[in-house]
Amino acid sequence: MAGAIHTGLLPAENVPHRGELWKLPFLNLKKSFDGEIISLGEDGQGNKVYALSVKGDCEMVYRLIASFLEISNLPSNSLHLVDNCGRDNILLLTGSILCRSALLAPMGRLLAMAGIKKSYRLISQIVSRQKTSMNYNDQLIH
Amino acid sequence: MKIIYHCFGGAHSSVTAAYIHLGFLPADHVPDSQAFCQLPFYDRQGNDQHGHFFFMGRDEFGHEVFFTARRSRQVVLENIVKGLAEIFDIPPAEYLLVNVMHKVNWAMKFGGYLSRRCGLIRVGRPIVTMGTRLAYSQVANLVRQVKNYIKGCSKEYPVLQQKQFSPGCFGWRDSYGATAGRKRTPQR
Repeated sequence: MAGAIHTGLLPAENVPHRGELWKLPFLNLKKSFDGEIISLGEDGQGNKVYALSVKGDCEMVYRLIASFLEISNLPSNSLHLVDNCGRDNILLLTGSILCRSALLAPMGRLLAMAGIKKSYRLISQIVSRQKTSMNYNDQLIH
Repeated sequence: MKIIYHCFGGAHSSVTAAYIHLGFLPADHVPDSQAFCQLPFYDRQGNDQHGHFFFMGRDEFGHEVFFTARRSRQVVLENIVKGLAEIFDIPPAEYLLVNVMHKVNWAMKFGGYLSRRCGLIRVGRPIVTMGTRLAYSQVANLVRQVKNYIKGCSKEYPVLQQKQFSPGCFGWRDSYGATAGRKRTPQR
């Protein structure tokens, strides 16, 4: 969701309507995307934005990515990782689990929506801060 | 090509496979316990190093050999490598992920747990070394299959790389859906 706000697929100011949210192709809560990298498009500056789902310990995944860049002779700043794990709340987590079951999916969507509403502003703020820091870094480079 | 051997803790089976691949350990006979203990990476890696790709050297074909620990998250490792390769336009054939975990026996798991997780090296290391010696011929056989695949001599596809995974099921099965110990038909 943070990635969708970053690329402008979701509004940054206010919580989107239910329909607007569920029509996003990557917001498929029926499937677990553990370790999968999903492309979300580009932001205004031409930076490519991706989403990566990580369950449990994030540290190993960070080491994997850093090490992959190293062995592939890619610069370490070619990827910028933003941790959003702490913004998941109990409603969102419960909702996403229930959505995997065909029977409990409607209830899961309700809970997930309530969870999204609860943390949307916080996620939006993180995205805004991230964009500002990226612009600042770009200015420093140029 | 980069050949990456991976297992749970990156301390025993993947290290052994990488050493066999590079010729530091013999492929035709089982070395004694002392030979394992003298290896710099054998039974050494800690939890805080999991996920790091350790470079071991270049093989006779010029391919780079690595090993890594991915805990029980094999799918995460494969998805991340696949995803990053796509992002940076690296051809998929550039990486070969070799899962050594299905060659690991109970002695290796138990000894590895005691040595690496509990820190009981004096107790765990002899057990894990014994387990490694028992599984050695299977690991050497896997390395042989990998080398055959690289050379293009074999049409078999022993390395299960970038394929669709089953969602998993109950019982003693590996992540490819085959029951442990049962022979699988080679993937193409």
